[in-house]
Amino acid sequence: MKRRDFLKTSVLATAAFATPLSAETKTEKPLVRAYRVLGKTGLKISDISLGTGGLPSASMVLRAIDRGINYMDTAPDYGSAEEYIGEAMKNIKRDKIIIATKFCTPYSYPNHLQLGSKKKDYIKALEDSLSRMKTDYVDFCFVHAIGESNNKNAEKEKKRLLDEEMLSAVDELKKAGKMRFLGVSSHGPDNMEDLLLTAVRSGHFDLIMPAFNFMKAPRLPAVLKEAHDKGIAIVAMKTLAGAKDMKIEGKGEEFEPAALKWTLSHPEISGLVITIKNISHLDLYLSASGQKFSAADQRTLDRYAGRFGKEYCRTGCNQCEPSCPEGVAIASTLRFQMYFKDYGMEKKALLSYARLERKADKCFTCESESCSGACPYGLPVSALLRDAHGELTFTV
Amino acid sequence: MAGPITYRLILLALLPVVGVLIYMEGQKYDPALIDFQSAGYQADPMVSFFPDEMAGYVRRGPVRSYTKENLHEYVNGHAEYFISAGFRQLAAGEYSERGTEASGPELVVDIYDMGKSIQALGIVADESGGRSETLGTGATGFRSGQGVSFVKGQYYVRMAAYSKKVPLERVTGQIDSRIGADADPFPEFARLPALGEVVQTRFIREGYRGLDFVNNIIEREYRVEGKTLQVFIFPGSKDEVRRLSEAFMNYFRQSEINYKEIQKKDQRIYEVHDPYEGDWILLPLDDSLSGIFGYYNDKIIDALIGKQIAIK
Repeated sequence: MKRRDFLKTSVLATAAFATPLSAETKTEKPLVRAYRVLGKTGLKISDISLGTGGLPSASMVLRAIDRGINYMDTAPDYGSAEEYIGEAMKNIKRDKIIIATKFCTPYSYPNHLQLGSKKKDYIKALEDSLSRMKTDYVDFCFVHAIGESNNKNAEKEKKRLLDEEMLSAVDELKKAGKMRFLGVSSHGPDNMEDLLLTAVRSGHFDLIMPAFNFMKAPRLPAVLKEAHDKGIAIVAMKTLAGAKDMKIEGKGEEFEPAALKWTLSHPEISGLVITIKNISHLDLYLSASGQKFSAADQRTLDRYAGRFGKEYCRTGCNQCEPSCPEGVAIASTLRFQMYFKDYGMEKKALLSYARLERKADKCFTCESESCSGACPYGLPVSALLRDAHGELTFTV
Repeated sequence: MAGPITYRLILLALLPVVGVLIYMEGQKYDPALIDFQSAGYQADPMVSFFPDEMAGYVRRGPVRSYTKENLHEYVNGHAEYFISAGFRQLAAGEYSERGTEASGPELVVDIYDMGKSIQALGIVADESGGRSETLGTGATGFRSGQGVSFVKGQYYVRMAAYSKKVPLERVTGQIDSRIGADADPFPEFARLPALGEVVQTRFIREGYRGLDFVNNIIEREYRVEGKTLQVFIFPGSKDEVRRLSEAFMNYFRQSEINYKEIQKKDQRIYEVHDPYEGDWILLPLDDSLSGIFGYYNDKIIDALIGKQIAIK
């Protein structure tokens, strides 16, 4: 696969400009070095692909494609991402690029279509995405964030997953050539493995996208294996385990590639999506493409785990939540804090937290501290929650 | 002749005397040494931004003030963010609907003095996720699920409503007019030329268009002759402008991006042929750096150069 085949040649044609540039100043840029098959769909994607949350411009899409990335994961509520993809579209060979979006609206995060949405809502959501992206079709559309807080009822979430209104809309959209495959994503925290397994066994889904990293949810590998055996593709997200800044220890350049290589070392995984906001991200993340996970990488991850293991709330885990008498949405609160502090997505974090029904304000007056010792990874839950509430509301 | 030991004994004997003298001197109050007026903060100007009543909502209690020293008491966990962005003072007021006996406030108004308008704009840019808009009052800001945030000069205003009845548009207008026209305007905006219909003006705090080295950019999008273009301005010091110009040149070389040097109005400009952005204009002057993405022609370039020279 020639990476520049993804772009229309006009983009890369160089004019005979008056100022020739010295070849000796050119630096080699990391490129995609491996493509993997997406299960039964037969599509092949770059092992490291473009997550578009916080995408800064159309040019960033073209830079990523020029480096060989051919899969982009977007959503209507990822800022202006779909509009930027649309702006870039005139320079993209559409049939060479794989685009995945979500059944969602752009108005306020999280606005994924919930149970009770009608067939026409699903159709309109996708048609609006197509319009923003200036394309006739998407390759994948996701039922997104299955198991997110406010949806603690597993049966209700299973109904959303297999909703007749949604499935009927998917049929119609596929017949009209507006979408090709159906996907489901989950970063938990509630029932992530069970819900993904339900999706895998339902026969309706072609791709699952779980949060998957070296601080992983214990039962997830079994889900991945079953999906893989059935030919259902797996794309991983949240692969940096909190994306804490390792540069404070002077080891920043090593951590991200090591974490990505760990995820890609699992044969069930077709690829991963990671937020790429600038050229440095592109250089850093693509240095892991096609590379083997090494003992040195493991040592780097061990250092990260040692440094941040008691700070990072494992995505997809909610084992501590039953211990809280107030029903505080612990995992979601800490995930939104991660968006705020580590991902630089302040507004998304604030809005998401504002919509939680049971916030951590209760932790300031809690006398039982029954969450103490409830985290299997030893996190000081109540202290972290008080800190998160302060950051996500600007008050105490 | 007294020997060295004698001198040492005399000096040793004098030490307590010297110590007592220093202590006595230290006990005298010298107002020139500690100027409480300059270290403190004149709270009155900001208190006047909070009406006793607006749109049927009455202020509950006095306006509270916070400085760098105690900001963490109010914005726990987020104080460093504000301080590093130029924070000087916060004034906060709470309101409830007249005639009701609500146990808590229905509206909280926080006004942050960020020192400079550009720093206040940076906060709005961050918190709006880059999607700020022009509000009904003409201010730049954004609406969130339960409030409105906007920037007025060097002030960043954040209003949180805890009741759906709060008329946020009217309240925004009142606070906006209270702060008034004296607030530090955006001097950088004077560098933006009048080209046609203004679509939006944004402040991009970091990584402009994915370029790591381009931070703190003001961008205005215009619609001209049916086409869209973006003019950007980097409002930095001479040294910062020089460093950014050099960073662009390095980037062009390392990324094999061709450019052409052109003389226009006695100014050196660069027409950049960028595989990812298309053709665009870079105008580095001594004290400013600006450019045009999207559509441009001679008239538009002349207008940008003319504006930069006029401000000089």
